[in-house]
Amino acid sequence: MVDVCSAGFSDFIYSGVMPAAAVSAIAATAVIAASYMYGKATSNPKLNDYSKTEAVQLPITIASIIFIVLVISSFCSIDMNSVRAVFNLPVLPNSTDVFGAAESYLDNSAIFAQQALVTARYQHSAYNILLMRSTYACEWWCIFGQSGFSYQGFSGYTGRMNLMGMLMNTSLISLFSALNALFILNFVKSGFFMMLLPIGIFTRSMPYLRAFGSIFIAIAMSFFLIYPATLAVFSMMDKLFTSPLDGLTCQSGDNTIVIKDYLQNDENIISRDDSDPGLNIGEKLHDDELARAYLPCGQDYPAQTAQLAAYAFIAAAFLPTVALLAAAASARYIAKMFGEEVDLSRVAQMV
Amino acid sequence: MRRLTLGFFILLLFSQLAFAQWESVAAISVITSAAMLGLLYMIGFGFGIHELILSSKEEAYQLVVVIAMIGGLIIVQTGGDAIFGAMAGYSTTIQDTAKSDADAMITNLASEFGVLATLENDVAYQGSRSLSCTLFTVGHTISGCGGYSMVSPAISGVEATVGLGIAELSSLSRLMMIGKEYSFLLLLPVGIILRTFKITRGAGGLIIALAIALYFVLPLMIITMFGIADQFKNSSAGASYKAGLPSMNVIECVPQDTDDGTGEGTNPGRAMNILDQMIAATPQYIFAPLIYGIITPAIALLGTIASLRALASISGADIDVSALSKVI
Repeated sequence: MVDVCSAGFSDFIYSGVMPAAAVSAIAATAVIAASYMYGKATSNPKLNDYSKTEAVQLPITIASIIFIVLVISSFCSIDMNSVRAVFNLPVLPNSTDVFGAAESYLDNSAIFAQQALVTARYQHSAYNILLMRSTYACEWWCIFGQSGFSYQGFSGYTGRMNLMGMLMNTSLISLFSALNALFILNFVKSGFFMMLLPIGIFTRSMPYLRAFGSIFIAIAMSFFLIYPATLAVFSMMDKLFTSPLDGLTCQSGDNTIVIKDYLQNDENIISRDDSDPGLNIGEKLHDDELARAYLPCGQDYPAQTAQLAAYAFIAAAFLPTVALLAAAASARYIAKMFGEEVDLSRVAQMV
Repeated sequence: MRRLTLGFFILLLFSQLAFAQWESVAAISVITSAAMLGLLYMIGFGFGIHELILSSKEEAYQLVVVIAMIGGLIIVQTGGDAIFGAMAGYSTTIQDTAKSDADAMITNLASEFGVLATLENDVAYQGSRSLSCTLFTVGHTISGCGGYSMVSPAISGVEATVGLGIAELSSLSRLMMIGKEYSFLLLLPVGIILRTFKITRGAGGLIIALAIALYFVLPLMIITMFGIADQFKNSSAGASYKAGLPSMNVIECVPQDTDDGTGEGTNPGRAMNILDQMIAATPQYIFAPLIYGIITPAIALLGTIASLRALASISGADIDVSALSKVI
């Protein structure tokens, strides 16, 4: 299989799919002609009606196939920056076609969900380390024994750690939803659905297999045309990926820390300690120093993390589900046009 | 096909000189639909193909539905804000009012979260304190602050509720941003274009329904539900649900005090005092996250998704949209 907008796809269509479609059409025509001749010979009205109906439906089916191929080539030639200009939206530095815009939207939404996941995970790990901190202060008889108070200065992070756990689950679902949608798009872009078309042409003209053929053509049309187009429309919503952590900074001595970069650093929280000797846990006698070692300027951001997880869910789970539902709605309508009913709305409940 | 697409977009570009963005797209779509059904009818009539004549009549019906929908949207868009403002005494649009209400509640909940986090820090710190006394490896350890540990899980539970409330309201706020910024700019024009052609009518109907639901229904649901909650809070029945952040005084624990009484001067008594303060402040710090942060968004989203299904059905996309309810 090849990418739908690559040069090899045209070869795939014109050397693979179209000949197969032509063979299917010829075979279907032969079956219809044979049915007509047999119906006339035996004066069978059912066969006559069948062959007359299919004689009208077969050109419609073939026209649908040609329509799909034409629209796909249009999708590959449409510059999304031109479309953005039509809707008075800012243009991007790199132009792309409809399929490229759909893929970039799902890439961006997966990255957004991953950022939410990393932010929650980082703070969860930081809370976990700080919760284990136990301090013992010897106050008297320290030479002959140890007498004093012990306490856990960071034991109040339990509630926030639980919240980060829940936000990690939500962000994980968002990430999987975006990846699921991306895999479906890549599957569509590979052109495999085009193989359904020759089968659809032949089976739609056969008795008892009409529903089968109609569904194949409806699915191919809706997933090739509507699914990428809907995602391309969503890709023009630039404000979807604004984060509540954008622009937040804090001052640590002479250094300005960018909160978003700090919390979304891929570096493992333990290796952060080893990479900078100044952050050695054993040297942190004071609790506030330890907090500053693992949290930006000693401050955590649970409310902003909850907002980020919610925004990621909308961008990575809700809107791709809408795109799948749009494809399902379209498939139902197209199948109804071809005379059958198909409900693909359960596809959207895969995640 | 490419030239046709290019010509269509050029027409859209020039049409913006006369009308608002989506209205020009709607006008072009109506003209395109009329041309298509006219062509279908002519071919069907000329060749005596009854299926085409029936199909053109169905297209004419769909065209009437589209024109009625566009007319209704224009009326609601231009008159809706004025009517709403006159009824509710607001001077801003429905969308701005709903979004600012949601954002203000998010800010309130974030502040409440901070107060609860500080409270949990203080309570957990007191509960973790213990005293040890050893002399030449012989001694004992006293943990007299164990009573405080019963308070921490309750605070953690409330923190989780507040955090989830922030997340729910944030998702609503983002949906309202999509509705306000992109419904009429992007979703409605694209939906109308897709609905014009028979093959893409299902998808176009769903996108039109999404635009209307996010632009009108969701903000109205938010304003209505928040208004109900506000009315309750301002009534005599809701007098105890005071506005503002709760404040509690965490009495310091004495680790070496092992008195098992519950008087004021004992550790259990001190822990009970904190618990009593929490119980007294419960209406204050639970009402906002539960009502405004959890229940209101859930009802608003359910209403929006239900309306989405109904609007999609009217627009020609009768499909099960219950998959979207998992956002709740």
